[in-house]
Amino acid sequence: MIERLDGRAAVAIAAVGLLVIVLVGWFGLVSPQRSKAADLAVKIDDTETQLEVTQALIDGPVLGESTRLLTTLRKAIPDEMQMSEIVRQLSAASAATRVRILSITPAAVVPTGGTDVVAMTVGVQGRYFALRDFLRSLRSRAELDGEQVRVVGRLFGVDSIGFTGRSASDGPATADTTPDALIQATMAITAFSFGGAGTPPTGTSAAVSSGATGEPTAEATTP
Amino acid sequence: MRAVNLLPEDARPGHRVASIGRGASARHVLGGSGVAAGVFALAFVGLTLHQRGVVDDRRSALAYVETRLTASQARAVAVEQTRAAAQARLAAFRTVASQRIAWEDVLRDLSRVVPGSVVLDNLSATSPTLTGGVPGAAATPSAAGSPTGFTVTGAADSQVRVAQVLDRLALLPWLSDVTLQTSTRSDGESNTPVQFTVAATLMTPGGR
Repeated sequence: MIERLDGRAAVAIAAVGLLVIVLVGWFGLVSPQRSKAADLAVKIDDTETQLEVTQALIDGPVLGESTRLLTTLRKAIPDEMQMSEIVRQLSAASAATRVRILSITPAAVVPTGGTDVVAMTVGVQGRYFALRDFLRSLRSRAELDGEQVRVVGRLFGVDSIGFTGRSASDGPATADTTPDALIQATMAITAFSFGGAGTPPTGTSAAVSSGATGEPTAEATTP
Repeated sequence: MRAVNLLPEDARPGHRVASIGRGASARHVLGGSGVAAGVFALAFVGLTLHQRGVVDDRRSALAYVETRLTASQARAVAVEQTRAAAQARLAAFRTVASQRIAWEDVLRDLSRVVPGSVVLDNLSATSPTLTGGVPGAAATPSAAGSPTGFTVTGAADSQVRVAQVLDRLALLPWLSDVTLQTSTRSDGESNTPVQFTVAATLMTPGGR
């Protein structure tokens, strides 16, 4: 058979055969493996990029800053309502501003979408400017200074105030005339917790009696 | 007459293509090409094996990077949760802080504008935006022009002084719709015989 082929035909057959081997070898064997290797290289690159991004998040300042911010904000809005802490802080504010707390009557805790709120009716007695200082003290425990958060205690909101019961001899509420006049005021104060179960404040569902005085005590100095 | 060669260029005698294989032994050509085919086959097998090794190496590398990524992502989730918790609490803080009234400023301003010969008996002020968000408790706006949220009762030595109180309260930036409700002179020897009630609308003087 081979003997009957001429040289040109043999060359043609050899060329075709070699071409088939090259094509099959390249496209059937080598190229799929190269393709797999290239795909894997792309996947490795993508995964390494993700790893770098993730690592940057872990190693970056986010965790530290968030943890510090969270720690600070937990002072203002703790995880639990902690009514005892609220009473202590109100007492501290009253002691620092020479206001006498006559009563604290908390209502049930109301969940308001993530933040739990306890509204309290707080009766206080003091001079006009002492009451003003008391209100300032409550607000400055947790406040915004521009974008900065300043927290030294609980976040309180005062929704209303009412002064009542001035007798004729007490003088006016303005300091210019009779600064020594004692005023009884009722304030609607709110305190907050974050993600609590919405249960009523423990042990304080009834009114707190007028035992929270303006005298400085160990409790009162607790920030 | 000129002779014309009608054969194609590459088929003409003496051309390189036309001379390929001419006179060559088919056995030698096929034998040589068989050897070449074997070499090619071996080369391809070698290349394939090499590429398989590369693939295996990259699979191992990918598995290692993915393991590290999984571990990192678990830690990143904790970071994200911490950040989300901080942001959620910060948002709640900002909301409350922005809704608060600076009551000390209210009392300070009030003490400055009330004339010395006027006494205040009662004061009632309710924030237009409640920090607690308890429905129904805020000073709800009433009819247009009708004051809400701020009522003060006091006594003055004359009706003119009451007018002065109205004028001065109207100057306060956190009050609007300052309205006289009553102003009544009572009989007697009091220094402040005129009892008055003034209502106004309390606006939020800043939130901090």
